[in-house]
Amino acid sequence: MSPTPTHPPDPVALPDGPAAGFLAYRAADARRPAGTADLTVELAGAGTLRGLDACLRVACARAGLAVAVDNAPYGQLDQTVLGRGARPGPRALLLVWDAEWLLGDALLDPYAAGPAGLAELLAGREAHLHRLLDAALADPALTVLACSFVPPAGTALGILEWRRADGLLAGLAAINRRLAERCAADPRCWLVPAESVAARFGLDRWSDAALRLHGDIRIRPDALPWLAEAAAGILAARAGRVRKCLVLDADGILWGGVLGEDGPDGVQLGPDGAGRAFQEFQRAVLALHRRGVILAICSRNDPADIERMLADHPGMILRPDHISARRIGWGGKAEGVRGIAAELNLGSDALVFIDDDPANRLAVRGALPGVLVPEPPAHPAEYAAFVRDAGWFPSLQLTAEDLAKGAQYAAQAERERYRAESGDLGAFLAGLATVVAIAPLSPATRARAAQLCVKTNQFNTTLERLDEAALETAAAAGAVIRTVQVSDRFGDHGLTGLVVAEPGPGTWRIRLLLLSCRVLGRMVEHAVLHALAAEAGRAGATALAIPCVAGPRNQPAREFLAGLGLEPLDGGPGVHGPLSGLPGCPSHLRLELT
Amino acid sequence: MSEDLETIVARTLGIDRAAVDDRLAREREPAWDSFNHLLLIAEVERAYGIRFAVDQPAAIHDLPGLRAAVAALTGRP
Repeated sequence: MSPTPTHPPDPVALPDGPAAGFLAYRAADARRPAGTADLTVELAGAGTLRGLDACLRVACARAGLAVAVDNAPYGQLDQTVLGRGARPGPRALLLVWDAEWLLGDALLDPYAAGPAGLAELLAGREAHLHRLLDAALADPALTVLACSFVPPAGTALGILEWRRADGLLAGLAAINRRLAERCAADPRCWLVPAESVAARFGLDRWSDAALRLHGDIRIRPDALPWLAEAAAGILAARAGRVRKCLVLDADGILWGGVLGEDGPDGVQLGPDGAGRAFQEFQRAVLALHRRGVILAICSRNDPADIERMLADHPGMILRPDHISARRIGWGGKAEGVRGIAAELNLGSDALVFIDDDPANRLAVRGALPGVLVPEPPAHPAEYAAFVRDAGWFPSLQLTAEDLAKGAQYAAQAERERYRAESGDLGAFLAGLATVVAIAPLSPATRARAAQLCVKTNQFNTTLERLDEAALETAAAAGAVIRTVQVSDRFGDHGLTGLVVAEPGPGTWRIRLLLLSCRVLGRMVEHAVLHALAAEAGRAGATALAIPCVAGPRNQPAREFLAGLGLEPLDGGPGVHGPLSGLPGCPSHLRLELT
Repeated sequence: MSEDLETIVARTLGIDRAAVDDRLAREREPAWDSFNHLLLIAEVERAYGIRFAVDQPAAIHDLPGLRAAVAALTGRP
């Protein structure tokens, strides 16, 4: 693969060797166009971390996030963390500590002071690392990413090591578990699973003895892209750069062979032999779908042949209801992928495209730079692990809406059929019998509301990525926070909107108004604004101010505000005006207020 | 081996291939710092299938020295 600035090297496709793959990332970093950073990442770690900065910039760019990186001074992990103080955000701190930093010489000779001595050492060092976390998290603007500890492959005790509950490896595992628990309980603290990354990369290759000896380089440079990709996934998800849809080629990806030539009975797909690789791949794809990833097919084939495969082939794991959009025919792949994005109302940067043909991958990369086009493994036997482990769809939480998304997109297909039958838009909207339920934010809906803040880009007025803690803080400060749930005759869209308003004397300021793209195009936003204006009026307000930030993709929100007929706010796309000037609730929508 | 030594040096140090000649030395080339020196040694070992002695990398200061060390291990001038 020849890397380009927009499509840097894929970790799985890097050449082998202690430095080779890292050099590909560094070269991609040198070719990266300069631009404004969305976020500054500070590094703090043990040993030499040089090169991680370049890998992190490239990995984040792959995920759609531009970052600046502040390098760590060598060997000053404690000083870097304890001495940093609060700094203006948005910032993240990546803590790349390791077992050597934690235990020093005890890593090679853990039982020199007996089991009690080891327990004391582990407890003391664990308390220290948590003190460092406390210090870092004292900066309220900081997101902290902490690496788990990569254990050694064994100790001097050999097989007896695994019989000891008070042993070194059991102790490290317990420290990792408690670190993960702490991270899970804190929305600003995230575990980078270095242990799992090292296992995937190869534990025996994670560190190179010569590089460690001569340069205190504890993570082999070739492993840095893998670690950077893991951290980038978290940072991108935190910043709302979330991919939502997996677009799949069919021949060579969903099954082996060429459907048009081999026929459904001739393709490789089933529980045995070569077909098993494709069935396992489909199962791994279905697992992604079950957690909310939208699936689409883009294939050069006869549409009827593909539909028959989906509906009838006994080896298929994926079925028609799992596929939300299809572009099947004889046109170009770039055109097909573009059509899928448009049909699903997603930006191209929300898509991942898998195709076994290098020419198709090149075409999509060239035409749609936002689409992530990974290099699939050379052998289909590796496809399932490839899609399972790639981390293309990081999510900060899994909500009921995610788990129900499959059914929701199936309902969407029904809706589209009904739209085609309805003839005109008015009849379609009226026939949908849409209900817009507006309710105060509750503990039960807070996680989904925070997820919407991260995932929603198109109808989002200020693009503020409020996490659960920020929503709580806002509510405690008196903000009026309302969630929006939309349903219709075909099903429930789930919680798909949020409004955060700050009541003031006479004027309510709408800090954030967002709706999922799934419910756009039916004037739900008018109903939400109408309900909020009514609430503001009942509280004695006479006007609304709706600030808006011009983002790369929130044109729909800006167009909505511009169409309200209010006055511009502070010369930007925001607006303000009297409650009496706002439109009423569209007649085809029914409002339910809690 | 698909790359010659000069190309490996240029790629590893991130410098122009045309700048790699026998005058190239660590003390004169800012990109040839201690970190990149270690990467260069690793890349050369990978490309030629050789392993330098533990104290050998520290004694390599310029391109002719690197070339001589490689030749000594591969047996090819």
